[in-house]
Amino acid sequence: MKQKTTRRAFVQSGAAAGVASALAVPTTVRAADPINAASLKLGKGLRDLSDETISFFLQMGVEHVVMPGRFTTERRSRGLVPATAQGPQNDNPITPLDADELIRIKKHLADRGLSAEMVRLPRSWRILHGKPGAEEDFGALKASIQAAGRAGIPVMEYNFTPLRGSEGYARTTGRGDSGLRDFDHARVENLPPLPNVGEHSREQMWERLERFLKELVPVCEDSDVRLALHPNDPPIPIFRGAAQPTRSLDDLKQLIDLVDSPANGITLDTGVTTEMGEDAAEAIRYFGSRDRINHVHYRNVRVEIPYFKYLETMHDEGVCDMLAAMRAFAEVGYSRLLIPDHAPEFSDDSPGSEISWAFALGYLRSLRHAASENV
Amino acid sequence: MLSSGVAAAATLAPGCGDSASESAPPEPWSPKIAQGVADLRPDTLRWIAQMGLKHVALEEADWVDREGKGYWSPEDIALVTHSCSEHGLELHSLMLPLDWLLSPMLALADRDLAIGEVQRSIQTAGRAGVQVIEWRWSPDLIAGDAALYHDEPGRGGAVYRGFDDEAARSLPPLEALGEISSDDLWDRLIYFAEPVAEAAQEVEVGLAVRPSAPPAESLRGVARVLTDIESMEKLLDAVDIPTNGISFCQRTVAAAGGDVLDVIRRLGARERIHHVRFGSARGSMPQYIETFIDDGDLDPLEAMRAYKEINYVGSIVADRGPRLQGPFHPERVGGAYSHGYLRGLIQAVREPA
Repeated sequence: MKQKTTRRAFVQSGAAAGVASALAVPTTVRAADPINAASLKLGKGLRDLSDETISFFLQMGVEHVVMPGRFTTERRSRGLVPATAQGPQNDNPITPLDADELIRIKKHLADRGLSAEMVRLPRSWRILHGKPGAEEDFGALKASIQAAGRAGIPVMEYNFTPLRGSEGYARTTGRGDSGLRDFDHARVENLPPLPNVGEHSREQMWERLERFLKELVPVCEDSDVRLALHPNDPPIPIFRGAAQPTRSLDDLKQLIDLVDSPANGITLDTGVTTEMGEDAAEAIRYFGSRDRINHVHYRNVRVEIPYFKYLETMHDEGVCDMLAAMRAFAEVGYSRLLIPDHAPEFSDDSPGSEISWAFALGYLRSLRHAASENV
Repeated sequence: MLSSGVAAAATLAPGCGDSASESAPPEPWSPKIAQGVADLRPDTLRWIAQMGLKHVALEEADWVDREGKGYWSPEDIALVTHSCSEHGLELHSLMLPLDWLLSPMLALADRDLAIGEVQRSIQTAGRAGVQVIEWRWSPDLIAGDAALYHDEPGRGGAVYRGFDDEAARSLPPLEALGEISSDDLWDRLIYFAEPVAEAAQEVEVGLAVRPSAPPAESLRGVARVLTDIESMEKLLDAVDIPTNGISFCQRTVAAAGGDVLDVIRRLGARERIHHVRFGSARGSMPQYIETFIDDGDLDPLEAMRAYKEINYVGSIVADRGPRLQGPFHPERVGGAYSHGYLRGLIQAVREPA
């Protein structure tokens, strides 16, 4: 096992970010949760910049968000079951994120009391599938990272999967007839490769991932941006002939060893970690003590067969000890963003799933409060 | 069947006791987290069940006495308990309609009749398994309480309810009631509480009187007599029957300037907390603001610890929160936030670091 070398020091991007405090926040409003100010940032992923969306989360006490990469005020809700992953629909080069647009979005949010902590790195099918256009797309990714750096956004999340196994999800019901989603590998294990995706081996994917990191991490360091790999979700080994390279904790450990830099980090997803049959608090301590957790997805599951069959539950009713996880974050001094990720369905919820998000955010907020007590 | 919380025997701490005894690990502390609702419509009950709750506190008696008879019949009660059980929920508590208490509060000629109907209703409810009966002793609430509060800007644009005693003093008396002195209201309270508590005792139902919110001395010409720990203890002393208990409105106690944790322990020692309304306030009399559960003055974790400390296993509801603004159901969204928060508090208190 490769020894960890001393981490390369580089300026915490948070210092350069110019956070919300620099801009107008209504002074009659107290800071959310003033009892425990110095801890991780409990926030939300925003898919749009509409007044309704922003206003709702501000009332929930959210102050830090994942921002969309494009300025859109059209309210968009995510279905309970993700759309079928279809792979590339064309061979076009990807469009890089635009620094001016990112700055504009960030300011729009800051003016309303929200600090943008993360934006997603665009996805390149050509890089993931090892196509000739990969080179061109690397240029666009580097430009995207530089744009985020200029806009003072400290983290960019990405996935590294040739094709997501989303066809294995289905809707089911939980307590009180709530809407939950489950995953069952048996639904998809015999599905053939897609013509526009093809087959990809684990070795090929790791080669591409290594190249990806070696190309992008130096650019990240120069731009004060950290990457956060979201593990393959669902974490099955292969789907339609396409290997999932980052679907176990060992994979993630291998990833951070590949290029030793705080810019080469992960999204610690308590749900996926539990789906893998692993202990979230332990994983948090492992990656967090090495300063490699750059983003957090916080959700819960009940697992029947690790990696292959599980049920995504409401935050408080799964097998992951969410309190132990929160305490582990406090223990390792994780101070970046944590978001509730998925919203199980309440039957009579409004289009923005406000009941569902309110329940999740209330739960997370009290756990964070409890966890920060002992620090 | 008395729903007040304090267990008779202390539970062993995990790890204690000799290995030979093979005792099962103690049950985790389990107060009955409930939701206070004004109706038992299917969508309301679904919402409660989906938040993982098992108990319902029905706070709007119109839903029970549909025909306005002035009492609860066995059929009335059967209907509401059945509505709950159809969704896997238990109807835990009911609230006495304020207008049933008007005659006793005003000492009208028919107050004995009214008290009789209340006794009968409580016994009907108790026999059907209802555990707690909440009630209020503030006659001016027949005019509602919206006029007593003003809007305060809150977190993210939510609207908080603020109370200002000086401003409230300028509210005119209610014509229907006139002025009511604190001595009169107090005497009438005892006259009512004693026979009602005796009736409740027979069916082992816990009475739970709510302190008057806002906890001012008098509003709209009407005195308020249950506003702080002293007055609550005075009531418990005057009608010293186990069933005569308190609906512990955490926020009102805090707003009255009380030390909430101390009051929990004092009332807990007497085993007279029969219901808890978990809420928060910023400031205290003469000016305070109703806030979210997590942005008031009291640390909600400390409060939950105090309930565990006294081994309270009765019901806890999330008290009303601020008025949320947006294209959604504000009470359901606000209630969901509070219940998510309470779920985390229970977990944290059960699993100390």
